[in-house]
Amino acid sequence: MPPIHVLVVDDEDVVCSNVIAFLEDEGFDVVSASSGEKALDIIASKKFDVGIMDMRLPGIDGNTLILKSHELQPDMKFLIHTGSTNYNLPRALTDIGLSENNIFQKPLIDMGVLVDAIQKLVKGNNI
Amino acid sequence: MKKNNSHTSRNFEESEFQAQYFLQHADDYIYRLNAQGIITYCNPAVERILKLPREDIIGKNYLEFVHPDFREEIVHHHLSQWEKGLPSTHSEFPVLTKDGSDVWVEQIVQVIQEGNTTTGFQAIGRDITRRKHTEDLLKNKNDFLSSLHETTLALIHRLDTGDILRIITDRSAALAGTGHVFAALIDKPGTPPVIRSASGIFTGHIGKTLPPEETVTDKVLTEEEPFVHTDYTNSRTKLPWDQCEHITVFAEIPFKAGPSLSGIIGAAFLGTEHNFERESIQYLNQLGQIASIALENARLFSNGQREIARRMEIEQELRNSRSNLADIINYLPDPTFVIDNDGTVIAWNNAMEDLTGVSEKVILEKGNHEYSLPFYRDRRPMLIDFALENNTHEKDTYGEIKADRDTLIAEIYIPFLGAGGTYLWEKAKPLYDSYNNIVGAIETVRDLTDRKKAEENLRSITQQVIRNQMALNSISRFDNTDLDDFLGKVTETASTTLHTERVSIWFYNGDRSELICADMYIAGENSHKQGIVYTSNQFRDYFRAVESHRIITAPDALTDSRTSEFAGPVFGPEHISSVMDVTIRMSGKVVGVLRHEHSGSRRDWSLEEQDFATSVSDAIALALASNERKAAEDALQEQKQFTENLIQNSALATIVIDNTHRVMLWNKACEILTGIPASEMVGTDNQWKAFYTAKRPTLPDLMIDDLTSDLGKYYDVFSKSVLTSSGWHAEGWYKNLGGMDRYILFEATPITNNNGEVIAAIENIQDITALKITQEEVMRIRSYLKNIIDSMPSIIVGVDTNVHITHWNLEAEKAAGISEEHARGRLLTELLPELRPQLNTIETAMRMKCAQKVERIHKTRDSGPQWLDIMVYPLIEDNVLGAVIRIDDVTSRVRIEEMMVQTEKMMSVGGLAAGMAHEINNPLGGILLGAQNIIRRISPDIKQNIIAAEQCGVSIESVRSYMESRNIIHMIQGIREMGERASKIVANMLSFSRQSGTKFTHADLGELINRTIDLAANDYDLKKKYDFRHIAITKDFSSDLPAVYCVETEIQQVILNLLKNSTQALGESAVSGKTPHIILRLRKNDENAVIEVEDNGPGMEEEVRKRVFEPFYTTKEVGTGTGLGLSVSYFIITNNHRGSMEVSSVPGTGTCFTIYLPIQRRNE
Repeated sequence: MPPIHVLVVDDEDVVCSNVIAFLEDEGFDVVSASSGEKALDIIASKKFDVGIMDMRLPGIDGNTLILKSHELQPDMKFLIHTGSTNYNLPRALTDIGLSENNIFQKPLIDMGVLVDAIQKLVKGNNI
Repeated sequence: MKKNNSHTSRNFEESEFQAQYFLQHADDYIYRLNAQGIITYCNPAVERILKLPREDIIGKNYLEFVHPDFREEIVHHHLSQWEKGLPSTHSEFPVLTKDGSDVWVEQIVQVIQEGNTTTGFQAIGRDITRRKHTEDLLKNKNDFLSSLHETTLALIHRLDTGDILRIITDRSAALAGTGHVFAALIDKPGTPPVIRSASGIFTGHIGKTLPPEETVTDKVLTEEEPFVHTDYTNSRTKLPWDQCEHITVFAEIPFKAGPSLSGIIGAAFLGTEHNFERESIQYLNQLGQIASIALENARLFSNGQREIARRMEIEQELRNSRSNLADIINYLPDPTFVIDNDGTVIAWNNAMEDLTGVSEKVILEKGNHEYSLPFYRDRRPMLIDFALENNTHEKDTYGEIKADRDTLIAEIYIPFLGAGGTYLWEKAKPLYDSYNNIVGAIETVRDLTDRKKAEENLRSITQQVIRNQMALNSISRFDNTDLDDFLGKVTETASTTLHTERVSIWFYNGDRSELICADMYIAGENSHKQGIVYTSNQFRDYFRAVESHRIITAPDALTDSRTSEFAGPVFGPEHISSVMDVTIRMSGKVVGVLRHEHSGSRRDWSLEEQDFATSVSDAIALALASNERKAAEDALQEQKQFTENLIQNSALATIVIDNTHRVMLWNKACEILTGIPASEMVGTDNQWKAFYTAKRPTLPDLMIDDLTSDLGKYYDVFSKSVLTSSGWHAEGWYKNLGGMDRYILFEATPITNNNGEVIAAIENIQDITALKITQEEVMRIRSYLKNIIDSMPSIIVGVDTNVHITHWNLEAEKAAGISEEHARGRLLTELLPELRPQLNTIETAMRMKCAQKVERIHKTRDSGPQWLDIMVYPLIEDNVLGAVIRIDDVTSRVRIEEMMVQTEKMMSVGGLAAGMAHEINNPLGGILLGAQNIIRRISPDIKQNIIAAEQCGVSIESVRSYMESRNIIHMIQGIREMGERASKIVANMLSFSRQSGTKFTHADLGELINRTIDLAANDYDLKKKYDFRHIAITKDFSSDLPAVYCVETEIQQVILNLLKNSTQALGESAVSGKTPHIILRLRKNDENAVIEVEDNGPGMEEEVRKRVFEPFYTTKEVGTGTGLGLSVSYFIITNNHRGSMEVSSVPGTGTCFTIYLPIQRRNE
């Protein structure tokens, strides 16, 4: 089984590194980026299955990031990992297949929910 | 009678004569008996018959010579004759002769009387032996004729009717040849015949009347001819008696004596063989005639006998009373005298003596007109003489003589007799003896002088009286309306009638000190005067006399003490000599005087004149009274008219009806009110027309008939009048009266007369439509206001200045549980004690005339706390004092406000939280993620761990055991827990700021609650600290609740929170005896789902309860619980779900949380 490629984007290093550690332990191929620009660079050169995006980023915000990423890799799936309690999915994102089930609230008590969601997305099922 | 007398006398004399004749010459024998029946005399015929010499006959008792068989009959016969006094009787008997041969004699015996006594008998008779023989032998009718003759003779002498009848029947029987005969007599002309004697079959019918129509044909009675019914069996007119049916032939022979029928002889044959012979009828006819004569004789005799007896009595009396005549005549009150044929005075009574002064002794036996001397001083015939002569034509002396048969009456005036002449009245009559011969004359004389004079007097008085009466009549007819005119006429009439010089009428003045002349008529001048005044001072005695006398007659007016005072001033100048004054009286009081003054010589006022004057004064009084009455009547009429005008013009519509229900009065105001003119009403009983379409009693009608018990039938509203004692009041709406509906008041009263009888009824009618409408409007407004006030949700109470209740609306009734009528007048704080602390406020408001408001007054009720707002509005009108107090229950508003405050608080917390949450979540995320990774990376489950450990020269197990021995794993777990908790807090806080609309579904709340209960049972916290499973859970879920639009997780969160709280509360207070109990209820309430979570824990004080939804408000000790649970729950329900949540708690009893969730999504 080919490894699943996941991109984790978060400006908080602690969050980022912990999520990567967990996913690596779960056997995923994980790359991290600390900003949206950096992430796009990486996406431009590497193929990913799923991207786990934080919404509050220093440069471009999470919504734009996802859209741009989608442009670069239309097959790429996305999960939103945000600390914002009042985040609403914009129309553009729902157009590309995202729903509320793609949103995960920080703090995650159990990162296992990410794993479940990644696996579902990769299988082609909606979450 | 005289005729009969002489007739009978003649018969008697004839008989006597015959007797005398026979005595001497006859073949007939004659003898005499004395009273004892001894024969004292006999004539030669006797000797011849008896064949005895007279010496052998005289001195013997006659019976010796009578056949022994007949002696008894004869004795009886003669005794009867003696007793009856029959002067003559007839008998037939056989005598005893010397040689014993049969000798039949027929004799007539007469009674000899001397004076009144019977002294003997005289008998005449003859030998009828041969005849008897012949009779026996001869059935030959021819010989019968002679016997008929003898019969005649026999009959003629009979004077006894019975004898006669017997002879008739016997002879008839013999003559007819039949034994069946009767003789019927007609007693009175025109009456039917009665059978008096009969033989044969008729014997039993003696005494019966022959009814003319049935038995005796009219022919016999009317034609008075005999008639023979030869075919009697078929005759119409059969006798109806016994045995008469056998009659075959029947004859009727009438007989009469004098002008009319005496009777009928009837003879009958029975059987068919017999018939009457022609001669028989003739004989019977003749017999009848003879019988008639004999009967007539007998009748005459008995009449004559009576007449004789009577005459004898009279003669005897006359004889005896000759001496009494004088006594009788003497006793006569009128002067009476009697003269005989010679003109001799034979009687002269005492009155005559008194009249003439001539005594009886002197004038008795005197003739030659001695009696005229006292009268005429002259011997001349007086009326008595003319009576004696039966001369009624003598006119010289007497002028007119009135004659009544033989009685003469005349009057004569003898001027020289007595003083002033004498009127004599004479009545004279002849006297007769028993033979109607004038034997004298009797005259009565009366001295009429006094009487005549009295008559004259009376005549003149009568004339005067008549004149007076006529005058009085004319006075009474005078019209007395003009009193002065009347009085003038009276004085004039009185003067004329009594021929008085002056007549005047005087009246007292007011104090009776003066008599004022109303009118005086002076005959001589034919003039009237008025105005003279007599004062009581002037004529004291007179005034006094007037008071005490009804009439003052003063023939000598100048000297009469009563009138003398007038002598000088009044009488003298006018030459008045006599005065008659009559007082005029009214109602027993003297009001004036009627004065007659006579001038000239003294005049005695006669009684008639006094009467006249009295009558005139009465007439005056009457006229006065009448005038007064009239004046009174006029006044009364005026008053009546005034009263009527009053009523007519009164502004109040008035009707008066009389006790026959007719309208007497219908005033102007009534005309206007009813629109009906009086002319259509007065006199009719149409008063109902004014108000009703059909005839029915009006209120005054009911008064008249005293039918107040029927008032309810006719009027809806009625009552006894408050204005009158006996009147009644009624009122009501009357449709379409004068074009609109009107409200009419009726007030009616009966009117009674002095006897208490109802004579009329009066009714006042008032149209108070406008007033009524206004009243009803007022009522309606009041009612409307009351409705408004009652329908207000506030308690509205009116009080007076003493805080006593004047008004009490519906809400107040409900709140206090006391009705308005019981509340009125009571002290407000008695009924609403919660206001006691506010009394001051109330009074201040009223005093300061300034509204006061007190808000949020807390009141504890069994159902929970209550808040009231009290507003006191003083009444500020000057004349209305007091206040209106409005109390509003603001409990729910307070709650809502509380909720809002809570929500505000929460929202602010939420806002805070929202800002902070994100900042905290990140670091928290780092902590939790790290902790999780650490725990994972020391686990042998992950392959990379094993590889990495080996690369370090250790086993993962030894790394792990080192971590365990040094408790590092526990520490890291602790970090994880704390981080988790922090994260929850933030999440909770964040929930305050989250928008609604996310994750809403239609959820089955019942199932949700069940899941939540399971959750609660598994909750770690609960397990550890509080034993949820020891709590009794009761579920009361209504089945009619549909799916509710909500966020399931959030609702779960809320329910869980409530369960936790309850569990905690129940666990803390383990009240002995009370089983911890949580009740979960779910029901539908209109558009809401209602969830209740109730426990029987210790409950909360109000202070606590108030703040229980406050964020961070906790009663728990520091460290346990954050105090956020309920506030978050509250927020979820109220903000996110647009529902409501409340809590009620009773300390010591328990707590109940109630959640209201709208079932459907609310459109915002």
